[in-house]
Amino acid sequence: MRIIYIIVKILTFPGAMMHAFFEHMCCRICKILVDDARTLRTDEMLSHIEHELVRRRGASFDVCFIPFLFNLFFGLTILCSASVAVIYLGSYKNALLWFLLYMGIAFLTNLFPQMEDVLMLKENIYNEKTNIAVKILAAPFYACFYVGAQLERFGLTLLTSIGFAFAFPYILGLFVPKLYDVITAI
Amino acid sequence: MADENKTPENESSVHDEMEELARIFREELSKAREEAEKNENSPETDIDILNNELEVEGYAVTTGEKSNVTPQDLCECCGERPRGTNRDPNSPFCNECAAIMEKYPYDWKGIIMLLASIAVMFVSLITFIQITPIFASTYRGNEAVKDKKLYSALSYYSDAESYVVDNEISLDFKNLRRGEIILFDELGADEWVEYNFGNASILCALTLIENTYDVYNIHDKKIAEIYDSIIMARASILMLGMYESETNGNYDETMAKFESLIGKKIYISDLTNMDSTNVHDELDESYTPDGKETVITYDEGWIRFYQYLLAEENGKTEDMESAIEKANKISTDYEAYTAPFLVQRYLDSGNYAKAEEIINRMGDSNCESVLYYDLLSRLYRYRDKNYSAAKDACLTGLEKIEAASNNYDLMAYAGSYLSMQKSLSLIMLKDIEQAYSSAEECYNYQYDFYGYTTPEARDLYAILALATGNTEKYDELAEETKTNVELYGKEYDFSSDVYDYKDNKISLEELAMSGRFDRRLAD
Repeated sequence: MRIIYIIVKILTFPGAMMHAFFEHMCCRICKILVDDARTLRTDEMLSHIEHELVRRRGASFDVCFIPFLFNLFFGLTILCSASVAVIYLGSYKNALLWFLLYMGIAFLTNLFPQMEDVLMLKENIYNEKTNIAVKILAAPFYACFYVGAQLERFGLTLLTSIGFAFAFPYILGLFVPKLYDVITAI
Repeated sequence: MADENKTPENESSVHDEMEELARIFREELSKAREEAEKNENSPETDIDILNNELEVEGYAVTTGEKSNVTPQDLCECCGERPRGTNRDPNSPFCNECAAIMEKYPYDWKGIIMLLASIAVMFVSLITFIQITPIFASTYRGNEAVKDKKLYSALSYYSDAESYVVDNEISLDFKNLRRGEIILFDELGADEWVEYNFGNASILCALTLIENTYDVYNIHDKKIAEIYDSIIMARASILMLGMYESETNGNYDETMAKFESLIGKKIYISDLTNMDSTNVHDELDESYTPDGKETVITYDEGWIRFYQYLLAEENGKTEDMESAIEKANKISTDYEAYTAPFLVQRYLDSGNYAKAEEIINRMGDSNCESVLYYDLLSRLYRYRDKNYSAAKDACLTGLEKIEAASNNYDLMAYAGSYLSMQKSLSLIMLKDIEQAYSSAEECYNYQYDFYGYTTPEARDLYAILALATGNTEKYDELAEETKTNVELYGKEYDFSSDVYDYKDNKISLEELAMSGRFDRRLAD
């Protein structure tokens, strides 16, 4: 499984590099000590950086959430045009659109934190000191990160992101035509 | 976590670093001892000396008992200074190392990738903004097809196509074209041809579908089926021309020749490349079997359909009905074209169940069908004598078409038929003024859509002009019968119905229920 994981990471290296970069950025903002911040490497740490264990609850959440959020933002904005044009409208002969499709999938494949960060988040949030409201609010995020990190360990996020690329135009179809009408009316 | 992920290379470099730090530590310790020997009265231990030096350099000292300080209490990174930082006393690093690690410099490759990603994101957003109108229209078109709102779908697809052409977008949108082809197939020959080309030849419509298929090279099972049916249609059209010319227009002979072709083969390789507007010129060449390899079996459905056309041309209503019934047993593809005749036959003979079955099928396949509301109105009028419902069916149809598209041609097409039906229902409701307005609408719509009016629309308009006392309009229409030669190429007078009504030989209600005004152009 490790080799599949690394192959998927290498195949989607733009997204992996950016995830590592955003994780580093988050570490700097949260003042988390960083051991190694290389964004392009060929081992299982591709898409992540080596940092010290995070003992603070907020920082622990940020280190999982901020790279996720940034990669999601980049992934969706890049994928929107490509999935609509290539997958929905059938523009198969444009190389730029295929490149955008690849970039979007690469970003969405590398959304999730590494399992150690997720477990650290669990340790920091689900303990006696934490307020029950925080525990409830954090639950969906924790569940999302945990499932995502597990999928990522087996390289399955590549398949989920390709699947999402096919579903994305239909999701956009729910609101983009209405939004377009509103904008054109203005 | 970081420890777990250390590679052998990392461990080796850390080891070297530790060795270097240990060497520095030993040198510093030796210096301190030398200074201690010089000062015999000094009570300081080695650790005190080290601590004093660290204090001089401004580092915090967090060791406990002086005698308990060991190398394990020193910073994991530099090995010089004691562990623990101001923020985290349990940190394995000293303040200085922690400060450096907190501000670990960004990898330049990551920065380049970030800039590239931002550029890619902007390219994507610009592309998305450019294709959003096409996407919005195509998406709505596809949804409308699913909801069986075929004129709405046609309108959305047309919007998408117009945007592509107007903005000179060079992308090929195969799925948009695929949607259009399937829509044309769903719409059926009659309505689609009339909408797109007025009363132009079916050949033009078929050629357009075929060109779309060729240009965009769309290959899938559904499109292939549609394409095959077009080829069949082409073959049948050729067949009609051929047998009419072979038999010099002899009705019985032509019908018999059609019958004999069922189950036989045809060479089609030339048909696909043929200019369909010159059917008769290319007829002989197309039927020369030399060098042709591809053969298909004649489509019985199309043969029956063209038997119907031939029977219609010759006024053989029994044969028309027979041909349609046989065709509909094979496929309902031709129903949109033949339904007005067949439904009217069923209504006239009191076979309302069969009429309703066809009407419902038309409504199910396209809930915006003009034909559906036209026939539904007739059903209410003839079967239920519910003239109010008949009028409402026409109004609903007109409203739906108006909501479906802002295309005036479509509205004119719908108005040509539904206004006529509405006028007939209003006659039965004794609202003659409104009936006159509807007849006027019908007359005007027909002019707008076809460029001329049918005798039925003109006659009803004239009769209602008389009924409302508008003799000026009647005279105007009477004058037109002498000057308008567009339809038949000769003068054409009012029908006997107009004169009968003028002479009080027939009432308005009798005229409305005679079926005389329920004809469509295709009938």
